[in-house]
Order: sequence, then structure tokens, then C-alpha cells
Amino acid sequence: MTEQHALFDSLLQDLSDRARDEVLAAFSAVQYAAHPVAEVQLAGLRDVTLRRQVQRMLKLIGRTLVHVDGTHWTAGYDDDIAASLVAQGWQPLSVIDRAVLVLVLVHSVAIPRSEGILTGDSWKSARPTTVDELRTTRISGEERRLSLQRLRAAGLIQLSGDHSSGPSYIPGPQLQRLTPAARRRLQDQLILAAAPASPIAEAIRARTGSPVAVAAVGDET
Amino acid sequence: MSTEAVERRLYNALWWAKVQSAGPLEVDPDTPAVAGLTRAASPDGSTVWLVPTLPSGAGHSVLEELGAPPVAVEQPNETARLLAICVTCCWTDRSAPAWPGVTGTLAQIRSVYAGMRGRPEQSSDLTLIIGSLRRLHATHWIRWDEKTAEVRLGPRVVTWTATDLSTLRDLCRHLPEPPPAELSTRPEPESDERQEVLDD
Amino acid sequence: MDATLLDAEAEAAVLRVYRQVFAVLAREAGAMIVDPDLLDVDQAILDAFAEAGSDGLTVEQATLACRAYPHDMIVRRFEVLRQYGAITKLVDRPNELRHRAAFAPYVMLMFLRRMSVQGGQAELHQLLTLEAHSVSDPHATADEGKASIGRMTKVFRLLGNELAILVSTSTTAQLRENAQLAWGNERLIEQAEKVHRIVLERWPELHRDCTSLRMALAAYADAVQLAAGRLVERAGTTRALGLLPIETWLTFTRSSEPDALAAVLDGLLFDAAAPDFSPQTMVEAVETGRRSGSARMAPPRPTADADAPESAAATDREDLRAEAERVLAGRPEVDIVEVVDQAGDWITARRVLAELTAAHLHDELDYELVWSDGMRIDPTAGTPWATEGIFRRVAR
Repeated sequence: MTEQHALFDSLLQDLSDRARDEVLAAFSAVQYAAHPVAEVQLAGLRDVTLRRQVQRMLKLIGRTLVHVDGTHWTAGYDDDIAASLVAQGWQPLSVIDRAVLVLVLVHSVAIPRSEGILTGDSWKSARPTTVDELRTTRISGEERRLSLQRLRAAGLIQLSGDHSSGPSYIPGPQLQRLTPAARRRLQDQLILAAAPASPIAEAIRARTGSPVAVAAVGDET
Repeated sequence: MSTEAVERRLYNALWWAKVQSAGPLEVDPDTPAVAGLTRAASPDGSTVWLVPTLPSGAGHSVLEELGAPPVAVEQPNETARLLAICVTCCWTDRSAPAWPGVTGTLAQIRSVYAGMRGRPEQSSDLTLIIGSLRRLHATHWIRWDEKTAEVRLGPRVVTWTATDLSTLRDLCRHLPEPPPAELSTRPEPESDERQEVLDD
Repeated sequence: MDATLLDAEAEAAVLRVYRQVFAVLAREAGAMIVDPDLLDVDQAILDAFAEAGSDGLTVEQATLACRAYPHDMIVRRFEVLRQYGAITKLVDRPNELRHRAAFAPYVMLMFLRRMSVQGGQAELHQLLTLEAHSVSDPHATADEGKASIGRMTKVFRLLGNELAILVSTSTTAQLRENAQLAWGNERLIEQAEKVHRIVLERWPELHRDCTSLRMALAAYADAVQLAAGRLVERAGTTRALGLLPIETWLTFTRSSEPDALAAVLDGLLFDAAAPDFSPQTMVEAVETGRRSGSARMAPPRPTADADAPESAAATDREDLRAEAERVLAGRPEVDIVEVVDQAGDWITARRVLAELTAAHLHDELDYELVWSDGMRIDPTAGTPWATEGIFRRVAR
């Protein structure tokens, strides 16, 4: 027997006890585990019918399944929901935290890409960003330190195993929650910010068209 | 599906996404209910917090058996201890729910902490305590006011079940009794300053 | 100067430039070197001649001077250089063993090495500067202006054609390898336009030649845009990052305000930290906290700590520093085993080690904790098993 849940019950009530457990376990794993979970590990992900139920649960809370490396699953924001919130100006992460995260992404991902030493097509990287590399900007040591703590707590960055020259950081597991559209958006915005006059930036603008007008949905209720 | 149902679903999904990206949110009491988000009225009733709840069988509890840990907390034990100490200081009427509880002070926390350790306070204690209080505040387990050095329980505690509360009641009995709280004086109603976070 | 674009300096790319440059000099096809390392050998041989002075070198002396390379390789390369006239007999007679080297091949080598690093763009920039210089010369004639415009028209046609053909025929990987053709194009075009302006003002009768140049420039710009578009199209969701030179990223991180950096994440949502603390975890944490509460020598604290600190982070740092200094006790470094033994029991030792580790990791503190492979085993010690290592002060 279980208590009522106002949001999920309509989905869960039709499932057998067994299926319900599998779906809830898979839902919890993709939502709350730090890293993507292996499809083989959970019936709720292996079984296509159950996985569809997991996806339905996620949709109810503005999330969606994200496939990682073809073998793992995690959950991220549904693109439409994210777009609606963005249109409302919703951005809970502070300027400093975003700036520090971007610095880590440039040093750990963008630069290794330019060096041609990163394979795959994700924001994962083992190339550490040192504190010295973060020091080069207009953010005080104290601000940076607190920001690094917050970003670590959220799984947006993690300590690199390489401590040879003091602490250093790599992108955290949360970046794997980005949907393909969000990953591409991050790539495009990074290029547009770093080299707005480059032919590549021009090509990106040509592809995405003039600034996309996202209709504000759902806030009028 | 009717247009109304579609709008309803979108409304719910947007609020859940907000809460996932920002943590529990403090909103105007007139905000219509969001399915699955529990409403915790602030102590003075001027606002409510929206806190996500999950069906039993879902949530962090299943992660351990899956061997798929959540994002690590810095100093997890120390932080959990401090939350226990905040509970013992702020949950005075243990026959009532833990939320909203009463205001506790840093002096109380330090005293219980040293008592728990079974020795006089050490110089490094305060650093550890403040660090944990900040972490708990940032994740809405407590509300920690650094200026007045006062603490309240945070909205996340509304998700504790009756079983959880009975475990905590036991835990409080095993922790040293906090000294009486000496609260700083402050302007009476505090409703106005909160208003600014309501709009989004 | 433009950014280095051949960062992923594949041998193939280097060779391609050499091959292209040598093509105009080669007497017949198929004689091009296939290993860029041979250029190092050539350079070593020519270096040896430079050192040898006016007596020149015999083959054997050259192999001795270049003993860092295999003997046979030097001999073979010596022969090739001799056949091409880069090395000649000191005196042209049958039994002459000593040779001398010409200076021109060395200049060519230097030039090639620059080309291979810069992909030829820097040289093109310099050539354009020279063109601007010569058409501005008060003694320059209309014919010289016409020749200058003609040369530039051809260079840009070739550049544009090469790129356009690459876009239509090659794979994405090939295109990316040749991406340097597309970079820095604004500066090149600007420089060419400057020459164009000077010429058209001085010799209006050259307007037809100038039109040809403008068309070549436009075609080049179009080809660049096409190439970039195609690269972006095929780059997936993160790979287009690799299409920018490293210097662009470094400049971006160094010169941008926090607002500009943060704006990169506009439109992206991330999860807030949401750790769970179940009552059971709290019970366990309190249990262990109570057990491990054994006393440890604490450094004296100068001020009464009755008030909450203004900055917990600063307090944190100073506490770590105090602990590190207590452990070091005035010495530049200290043995970890000694630290462990002084702590007495393992629980206290573990706490001290945790603080030393925190001091090591703290980006504003100058300490380091270095572990070695050894292990001290002493059943009579408070902590029988202790990993060896040192904790020390460092200058960062």
C-alpha cells in the first residue's frame, strides 16, 4: 500500500506493484544519481514499455530522458520547458557561478578541442582546469573559492584527480544532463561569445536564424 | 486532452522545473497549488514554500541499493550532525510537526556541538559549524541568518514523515539539551522584505 | 600576427606545405621527401657546414658532426643535397673529398619552417604589406600598380578556389584539417582592400583590374563562409569548439568581464544542489561524531571567539594555516609518519591529515602534501600502519 501522490498517481495506478517499483527506481536513478546509470542495470530502463512510463513521469515535472553514450541514461530539462522558463527570465545560477563554470568549460573542453585531443561529442573532459587558469579573471579569490564550492555541490564541476599543482577541476556530471539541443546551444553560445566575428560564428548565426523568438508560455495562468 | 488539462500540466511542469533548478521556492500564498509540490506556510503566514515530494519508493532512498550515489556533499557527516543539532534547537514542541519550529541561535548550536563531542569547544569547531550551516542553508534544510547568528529549520523538513519524526525525537533525546535561546531584538513583522522574491 | 592554426600539426599538413612549395622547384615529379624529419637531418648537415668554416667538410666529417642521426641517413641525405647542388665540392676536381654548402637552401629551410607553422598566412600578410608599400611609393608607376593588383587577384583566386573545391569535394575531416585557409580572412581581405584603394585613387584607369581583385576577394569570402557553414553543420553538439584557435579562447577568458562569461550560459538551466539528509543518516553521523570526539591539541586562539566570524572562509583558511604551522613547528617540512605518531590514535591522526590535505588543496595556502610509496609498519605505534610522505611549505 502506498500514499497518494497528486502528480504521479494517475500514471502509477495502472501499473502492477512490480512495474511500479521498477519505474520508480529508474525514475529516481536518472533524476537523483550524480552520474548517468547503465541501461542494463535497471529493468525500468531496459524494458521499453517501462522506460516509456519513466519518460512520462519525467515529462510531468518538465524533464526528459537523456541518452548518454548509447548505453546510459540520465534526466535533463525538457527543451520546451527550459525555453519557457528562459523566456520568463528564469536563471537561478548567479553571474559569478556561471562565469566560473564557463572558465572551466573553456579550459577543460574548448581548448582541448582546439588542440584536437578530445574525442567524443560531449562536455566530458579529463583535462583539469587549474586554479591558476581561473585566477586570470576579474573575480576575487574569495568569490571564486565560494563559487567553486557551490558548483561542486551541484555537480557542475568536480575535483580532478590530478593534484600535482594544487586543486584543479573538470566539468561535473551534471553537464551530461544537457539534452542534445542544450549541448549544441552551449557550444554555439561559447563560440559566439569568444569569436563573434569569425566565419564559424557567422555560420552559426546563419543556421540558427535571427534570434529565436520563444513564445512565453504558461505564465499567464 | 482538454486545453485546460494541457495548461494544467504545463503549469505543474514549469513549477517543478523551477524548484529543481533553484531549490524550494517561497511564493505568494495566492499562487495556485502545484500537484506534487507541498506547501509549507512561512512562520508568519505571509508566504508559502513549495517543496517537492515524491511517491514512496522514489527518491534518494533507492539510490544506495542501486549503487548509484547522488552528488557528494562536502563534509557529509559534519553537515548531517549540524542538521541534527539544528533540529534539537529549533524543534521544541516535539508533539507538533518539525515545520516551522522556532528560532535557535548559534550559541545554542555551539553548546550542543561541544556537548555532543563530549569536550570543551575547540578553535576549529566554529569553522566547521559555520561551513555546515551555510551548506544546509544553501540547500534549504535550514534558514541561517549570518548577521543575527540565528537559525530556523528550512522548508525541506516538511517532507519528513511521521516515522522520520519519531526517529528524530529519539535522536534529540540523545543530544545534549540546548541552553535557552537569547534572540536578538528585531523589527516585529518581517513580511515586507520577503515580498521581493515572490515575482518571477 | 595571426593565430597559429596548425595546432594539430599533423605531419601530413606539414608535408603538404613543403610539397606545394617545392613543387615549383622540383625538376621532376615523385622526388619529394616523404618524412618531415628529413628536414631536421638537412638542417643538421647545413649546421655542421656553418660550424666547419672555410675548410668545408668531407662526408665522414659530416656524419661525425651529425652523430645524433644514423650514419647511413646522413650519407644518403648528403648525396641528395649534393645532387641538387645545395652542397658542392670545395674545388671542382675528381679527387676532392671536401665540400661546401650554399646559404640559399638554409634560408629556404627557415622560410619553410615558418610556413609550416603559420600555414602561409603570416607570409601572405607580409606580402600584402609589401604590396601596399610598393604601390604607395612616389616613384611607383601605373604598370607596377597593375602588376601588384594582378598578383593579389591571383593569390585570392587560388585561395578561394582551393577552399571552394575543398567544401564541395572533401570530407569534414579533410575540411577541418584545412581550416587554416578560412581563418584570419578578415585581416587578409582588409589588407588587400587597402592596396586596392591606393591603386584605384592613384591610377583610376586601372578600374578593370581593380574590379577583378574585388571579385576575387568576394569569391574568397564566400568560400570561407561556405566552408564554415559546412563545418558547423557537421560538427555535432560540441565539436565546433575545435574550429577556433586556442588563442581565441585564451583571449576570451582573460579579457572578458564576469557578465560576458556568464552570458554564455543564457538559456541553459541547471539543477540546484539538493542533497538528502534522511533522519537515519543524521543518527549515524551523530553516533560517529560522538565516538570520534577525542581531544586534540588545538593551537591557541588569539581572540575571544564569541562572535560569528565576518568571513567564515577567511577563518577557515587561517585555521588551516595555523594547523599547518603547528604541525611544521618552524621546520620547512615534516615527515607524515612523525605527524601520525604524534597524534597518538588513528582517529586524531586522520583528522590532522584531513586538515593537512585541506591546506594542500587550498588555493590560497602555500603548503603541499606529497605521498611516497613506502609504508611504516610498527605494531607498537598508536597507528601501526602509516604511509610515508612529507608535508611542506612551497612557494607558489
